[in-house]
Amino acid sequence: MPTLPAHSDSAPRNFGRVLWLAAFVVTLCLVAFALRAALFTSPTPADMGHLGRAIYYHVPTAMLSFLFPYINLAAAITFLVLRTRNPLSALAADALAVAAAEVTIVYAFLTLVTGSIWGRAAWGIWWTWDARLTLELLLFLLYVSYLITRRLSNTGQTSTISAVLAIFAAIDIPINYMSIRWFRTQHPQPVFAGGPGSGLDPTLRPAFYSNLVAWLSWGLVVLALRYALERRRQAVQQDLTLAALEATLTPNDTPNDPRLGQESPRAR
Amino acid sequence: MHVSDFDLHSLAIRHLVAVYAVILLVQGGYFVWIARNWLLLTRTAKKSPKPVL
Repeated sequence: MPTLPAHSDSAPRNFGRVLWLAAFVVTLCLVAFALRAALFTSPTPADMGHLGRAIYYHVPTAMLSFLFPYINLAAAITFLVLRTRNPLSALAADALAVAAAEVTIVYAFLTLVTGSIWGRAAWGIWWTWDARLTLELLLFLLYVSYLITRRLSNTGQTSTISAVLAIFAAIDIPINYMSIRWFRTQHPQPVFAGGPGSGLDPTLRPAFYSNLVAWLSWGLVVLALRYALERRRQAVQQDLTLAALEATLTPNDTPNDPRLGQESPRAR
Repeated sequence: MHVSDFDLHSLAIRHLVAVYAVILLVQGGYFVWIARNWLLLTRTAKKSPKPVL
């Protein structure tokens, strides 16, 4: 059975912690700056007043809800490719896939809720079965089902089944992206790459991009923390499994017992 | 019914407060959930027997 590498050197771990702390503090500063820009210092969009500030929170959130599924997809494909050749790297890819799926759910949920609150104020309705809204809801539900599959499946093939599901779930992203170009929707027309007349007013760009960068940075920090948590969970799970196996061995069975095959890396 | 500028302004401000409350609650809540699980896992790892193999 391949085992996860044990941490033995404390210096790189301490350096890693300092690096994470620095990334976290920088991200908090970016988010604070972005909130200030979105709410106070940026100009109010001329056509919609304060309601137009949705461009600063809803649009970056929606864009990021399209980005993290691709990290999940890449990790899922990596897992499927490596699961027999290099199980340890495949486990790491699986951990990244779980983390990216959860972050996707957070961003898709925020996109739906902030869009719904905006819709209530701008259109007078909380929800409509518009193509864009429905596909975003589908995106959210697909990744929720991904996590439910992982939680409830106990076949030993959980990671493989969920990796295949991740590939199907990612098909929603390009269709969702193109929905406001292909269909006539109640959802506003695309701000970026929407053809003639689309584009962001230059005065709104600093606040928009600072929000995009801040929430991207937050998403990456949370993704990294969730990944580290999942790797830790895998290591603890493996220790518990090995300890349970040891408990079933007879006293004569030692790590160097010929019946156990080659010596375990942990015994060295 | 005519909606005055003040009503529109007030509606927009309430909308912004609601939106940012949701964003900060969800993002902060997820972060706290990760931190809580990290601490629980650390406790489990300390209590559980270490394999010799």
